[in-house]
Amino acid sequence: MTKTSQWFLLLGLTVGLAAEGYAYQREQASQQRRLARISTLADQLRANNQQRAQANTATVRSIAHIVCQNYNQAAYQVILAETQQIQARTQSLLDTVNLLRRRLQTDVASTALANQLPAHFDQYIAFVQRYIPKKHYVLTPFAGERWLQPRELGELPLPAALAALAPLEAVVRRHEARALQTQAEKISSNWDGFDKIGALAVPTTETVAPGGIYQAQLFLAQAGHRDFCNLEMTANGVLLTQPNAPGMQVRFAAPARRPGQHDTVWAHWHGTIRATFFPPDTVLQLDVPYLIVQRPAR
Amino acid sequence: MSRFALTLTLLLLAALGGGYVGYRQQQAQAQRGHLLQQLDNALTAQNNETAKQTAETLRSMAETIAKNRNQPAEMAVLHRAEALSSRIQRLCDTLRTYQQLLRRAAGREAAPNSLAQPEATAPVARLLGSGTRGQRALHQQLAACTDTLRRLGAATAAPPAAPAFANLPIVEALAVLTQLEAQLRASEARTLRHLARPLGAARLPTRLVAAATAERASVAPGDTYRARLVVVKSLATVATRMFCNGQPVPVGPDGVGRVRFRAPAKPGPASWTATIRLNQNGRDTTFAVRVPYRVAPR
Repeated sequence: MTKTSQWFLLLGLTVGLAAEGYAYQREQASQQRRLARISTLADQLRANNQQRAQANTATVRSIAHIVCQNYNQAAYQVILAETQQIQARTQSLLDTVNLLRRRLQTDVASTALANQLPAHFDQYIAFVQRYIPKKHYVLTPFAGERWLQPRELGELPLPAALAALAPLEAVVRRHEARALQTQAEKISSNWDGFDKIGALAVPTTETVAPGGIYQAQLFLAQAGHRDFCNLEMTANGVLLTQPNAPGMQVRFAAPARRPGQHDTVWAHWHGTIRATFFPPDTVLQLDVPYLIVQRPAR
Repeated sequence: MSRFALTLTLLLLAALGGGYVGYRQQQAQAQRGHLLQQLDNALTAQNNETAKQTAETLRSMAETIAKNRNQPAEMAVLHRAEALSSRIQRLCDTLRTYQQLLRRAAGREAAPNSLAQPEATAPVARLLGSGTRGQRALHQQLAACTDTLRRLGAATAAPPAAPAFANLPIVEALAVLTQLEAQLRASEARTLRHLARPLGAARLPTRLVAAATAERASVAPGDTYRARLVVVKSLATVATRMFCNGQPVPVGPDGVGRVRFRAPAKPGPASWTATIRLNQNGRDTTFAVRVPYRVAPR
């Protein structure tokens, strides 16, 4: 080979290498752009997943409320128990997905957990599809070519690996929503959505001394036991169980007279009302004063 | 070894190494493309769900307005909401048509929703590239939607901006179109919620209040104290006026009337009449109730 040919060969190879370097740079930039696109789509999915999770929680709460409005009938309680199980199984699976997310983020060994995911999803799908009508296609993650397999998570850059978990959550939330909707359709509320409104007076005492002062609170009140179902009422910490419309009967022995005590003393009792479903987790408290009066000896 | 041979070997090794890096880059890009398709499919499913929810929101708006006797101002709001929805639906249909055309250009693989040539850029340039009819139509429709959203929307509803498709491979262009649909659907949902909020008859604010009624004001030491613990769903409005036997009673800011009068001197059953008057949605309403009590010496 002549010297000139040698130079041309080396020059050609150098130009080729430079072209390779340029292609490498372009490819890197395009990979970064794709990674950014992946993250954007995953963010949108996560935001939607969060909204769906809130809507699903509201569905469970409304089912619980309707069951309560229907006097907790046994058949309705079965539906509520199933509903709560659907919610619990969904949460359990998503807790596993979140654990994997944290392990990926903190670089803790995640391969074993990732490899277990398909089995977890299969179990969940087998469970949840009992509650989804046949007309809906129940998509199974990791089944079929189009799903990224768990072993591939480790090969992806962290943002992409985290993004890959968002569609999994989306599928689970969608199945949960359909199952809960089916549960909600099984129970019907015969409540027409309108409560009767009326005046309601709550006197301090039902009996008043002749010429004494009568006192009462007057309310514009929405009637109906339905909103007050599953209320827990206590007096001095004791659960009240005897209904006395519109409320619960309170009965207790007034404290005995202590030596040296005045003939008339003020005392009070403490009442609490806890609403479990509606409005959720509300606790009302009140202190009710009363008089202990020693009757004159006859 | 001569200097030429050494340089040639080094250059060849570098070229081989570069080739391998390029191959790995291609593989990684294909894997990310695969993930992007997966995210795209999940977001498309969510877009379908959001479209159903939007239809449900419009139906519920119409129902609320009908219950409020189809008032012209509310009917106008419904028409604006329907016009917005149909405009956004038309744009989403256009986006889906572009996606179909791009999918057809990319060819389908055996696996559902997988593309044979996801990295091709020419079909995107032909359909949505700068100066094409597709790009002009998309920009026009998007500008019209953005304008409508701005005129109707809440301050938080930021309409989406027009995306750029220059040099995008098909898999990324599909993702951009899906994301645009998601943004449009989200803006639409926010705007509809904003429009729906003031519809329907005004509802009085309600709150739960605990109250107690004792049988008697006093009890002897060691005797049984009897009372009722009640919970009232109280409606409060500043326009409420309350009366006891026709005489006005003070109403607190909590909407509760304080009744206080001297009981008759004669023992026996007695009663008083509670009346509540309010003006709601332009209509005067009166609620009255007779409240019995007992006058008895201690």
